Amino acid sequence: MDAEQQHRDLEAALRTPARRWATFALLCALAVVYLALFGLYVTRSSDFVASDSNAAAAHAAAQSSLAVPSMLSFVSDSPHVAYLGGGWHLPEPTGTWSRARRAWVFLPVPDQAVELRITGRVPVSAAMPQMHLSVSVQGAPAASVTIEAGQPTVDLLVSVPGPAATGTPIELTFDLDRTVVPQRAGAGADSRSLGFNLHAIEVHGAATTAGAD
Amino acid sequence: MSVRERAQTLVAGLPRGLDDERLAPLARVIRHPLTAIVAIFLVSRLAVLLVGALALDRIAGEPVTARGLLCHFDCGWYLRIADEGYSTTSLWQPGATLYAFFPLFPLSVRLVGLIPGLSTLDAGLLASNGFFLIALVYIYAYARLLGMSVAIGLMAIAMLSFAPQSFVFSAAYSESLFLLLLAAAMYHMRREQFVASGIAAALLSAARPNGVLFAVFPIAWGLRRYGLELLVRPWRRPEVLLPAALAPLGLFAYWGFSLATTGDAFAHMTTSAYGWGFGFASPIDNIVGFIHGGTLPRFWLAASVVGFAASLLLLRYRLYEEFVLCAAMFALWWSNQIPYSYLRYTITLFPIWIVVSRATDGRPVVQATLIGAMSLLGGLLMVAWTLSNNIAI
Repeated sequence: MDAEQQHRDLEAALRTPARRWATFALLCALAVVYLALFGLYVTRSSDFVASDSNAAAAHAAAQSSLAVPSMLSFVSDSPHVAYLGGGWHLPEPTGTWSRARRAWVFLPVPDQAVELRITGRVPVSAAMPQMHLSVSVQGAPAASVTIEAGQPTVDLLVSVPGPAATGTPIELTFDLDRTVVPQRAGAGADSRSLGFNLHAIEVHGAATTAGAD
Repeated sequence: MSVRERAQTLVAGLPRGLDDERLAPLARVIRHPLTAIVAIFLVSRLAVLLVGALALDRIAGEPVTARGLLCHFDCGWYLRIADEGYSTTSLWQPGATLYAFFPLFPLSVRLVGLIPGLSTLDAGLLASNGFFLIALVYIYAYARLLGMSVAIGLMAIAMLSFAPQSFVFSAAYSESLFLLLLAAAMYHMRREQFVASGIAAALLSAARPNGVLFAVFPIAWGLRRYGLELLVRPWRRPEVLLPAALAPLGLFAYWGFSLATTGDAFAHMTTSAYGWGFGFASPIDNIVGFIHGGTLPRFWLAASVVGFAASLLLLRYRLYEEFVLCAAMFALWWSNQIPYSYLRYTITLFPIWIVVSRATDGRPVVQATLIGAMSLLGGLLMVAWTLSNNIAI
């Protein structure tokens, strides 16, 4: 029997009433399986690149100590970029841009309660006149700011409890209400999605920093 | 004997061309469309290799090797998967991992690589070229199935073979496999061989993610043939919907594999976003952005717009199902914020080549001009490819 005949027999078999209902049942089963699998995939999935980057950054932070006071720089070639977790572009000479609405930084365990002064900027422009940035420490909201066009710089103070309260690297989460593609916003040739440009984090003993927002 | 008589005697002793009885079997072989398809395949591949070899030798000043000719950009990723399997390690750029590449092509490379003596690159090139040749046969058969003449079918595959960026069909890329599976799925669908079409469709979405869009083709075909009843009473002709139902199978299987190995079912999208900047947005916003985005985005956009404009010919010839499939593909591609690769994606939509061939049938000057212009651009892109310039891909 040639392949053509086999095809014809198979397709003819699909058209008999019993096979037709069996085929319909197969279609229904496939639909149910697809829906169930899709639900499973959506609920069980997490951003694996961010997870891997977070794990690497947390590991780097766990291997280091945090001197107080100190200045952590996030420009290219700085050793502190090892503390950048998921959600960031490559470091640049002016800082590191977040690429998504959420990005993470992991800092070594401090030997005392500290305050962090976080500096950077966001790509506000006439096309995107306002952006909102919030920072969480160990998952708990710690500070937030709304940035307006004309004042793109960010200068935030964040309090971090002492080692007794944490015991693990400090997990800073940066959340923006949106990101910007400057090329689309008519604000430059950069075609990347940009959020917050992290320049530096100053570490001070608790309640010793002044002059910040 | 006069010169004239001597000449006549001499001519009489020669075979009378291909009509001679003794040469009839040879004539049948030469005149068989399959011979023409193989010839088009060989000539187009030789042209690609010649341009690449000259570029490597005279411009780049590098040795002419198979890798230099046919393995740049994504090729390395595919071969690495074939060699080592998937890994979450970022390679070459942050966040860029092997999960961005679908598994069917590297899997086929691994299978071909079981042939003794073949390196992974050899296997990749052999697989890719083999898939392309079979795809050309399918496309020719598809054109004939649509009622096109032999000449139109052959011209369609000639246009595809000489299209700009057609070198990807000979490189270790997944395009030739995608082309083959798309042609097979559509061919068997139109021949009402639904099981065969469904199997090809399931494999198609394991070759490239946009393969899942094949599902719109059987639905459009069924709706045109059986009307809305096909969807209102699907139990009456469930076999027609079988290829559409099987189309997502490859995609879901890869998602399942990704979830099991990375904890992220959508790892291909995640890593494409981190490593290559892929992301979805409104096609209109994207197109406006590409227009203002510089030479390269404009070039890629123009290539896809020309392809889409040509796809409108499908409507002229009432190939509505094929048009729906092409339109769905273009809508997906234009939703992507990164325009690179639009051209090589577009050339895999083979129904466009069939209708372009049909529209220019009987106009040899137009056809020669078209193929000449495409070959010029293709030559330029092949040079760029061998020099690893990013306009190539």
